[in-house]
Amino acid sequence: MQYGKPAANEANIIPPNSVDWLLQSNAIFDEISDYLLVKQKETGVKLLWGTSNLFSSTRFMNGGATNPNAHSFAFAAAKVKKCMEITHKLGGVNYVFWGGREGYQTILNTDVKRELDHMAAFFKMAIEHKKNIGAGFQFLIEPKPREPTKHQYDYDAQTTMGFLQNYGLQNDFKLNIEPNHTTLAGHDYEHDMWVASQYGFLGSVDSNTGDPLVGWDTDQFPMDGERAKQ
Amino acid sequence: MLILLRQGGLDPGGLNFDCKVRRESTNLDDMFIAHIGAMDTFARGLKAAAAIIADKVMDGMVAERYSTFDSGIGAKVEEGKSSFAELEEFALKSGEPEKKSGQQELYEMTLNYYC
Repeated sequence: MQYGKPAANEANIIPPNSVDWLLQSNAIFDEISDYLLVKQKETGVKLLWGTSNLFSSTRFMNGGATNPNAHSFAFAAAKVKKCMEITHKLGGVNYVFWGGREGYQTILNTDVKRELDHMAAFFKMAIEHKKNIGAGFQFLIEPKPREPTKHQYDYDAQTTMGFLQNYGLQNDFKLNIEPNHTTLAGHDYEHDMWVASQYGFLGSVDSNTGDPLVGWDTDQFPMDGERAKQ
Repeated sequence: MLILLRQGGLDPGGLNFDCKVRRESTNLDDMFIAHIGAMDTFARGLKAAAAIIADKVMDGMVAERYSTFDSGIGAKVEEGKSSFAELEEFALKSGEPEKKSGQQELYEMTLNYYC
């Protein structure tokens, strides 16, 4: 569990690489989520969203849904499949895709169109799987322009909405806006909130803030009343 | 130029310099040098881009990088005929994916080779 918000990132509760990692991690995930469910019932804490980590392991260093290797793509799909099922089990009301490595480090080795086609195919299969398991959670994409990759496809709210419209995914996805990412994209803190909301795409908020000068994602607690007001 | 050649040109668009010489470049021939120099710069770029395409080296490297999507499970994904269940089965059967280098420096060096 991530501290400070009732959201589950599976990388925080599953150990790193090992042989038969997927089988082991799925078994551990089952066991730990049983425990989480008991604790949820004890405390009444609900799950805001679940998400899968497709950016820390070297198997995803070239992306998850946009990995040029179909084998890695399949591995990413398997992880998201399991994580969606666990999120559903824990009564999660949203499911977030933050594409930290869905982008490129150099455009020279990258077929951008093919990668975006693959990402859309990935999302279409996620929609199908959501139906299969009877989950009611809302899919969310969290835009960010870069870091860890040089360029991330979900650059900002408008770019992401354009992608969703282009691939016919607009009815199944909304956005999880993190204003700290908005400023990294060169916009004012509140810009993506306004834009997403006006198009009916504002689904949830990562309500942190960044440092206006350092130029990277600092995930600080929000203490600016003026920004909170907007 | 590589981008423009790959898409088969820019017609009816074109390259508009949208430039002006610096305020301190006051000689009449500064205008001539600026325009000719910029045109020659693009001409060099065009020749290098044509060579890159003719050699098929860089395009081949990129095609090879995505080749697992040309057949098998990858092709099924591209055709929209796969599912998370099938991909999970494939992942469980196939184990850990091979670590494949992005070879950024090789791509950059290859681009530098053409000039």
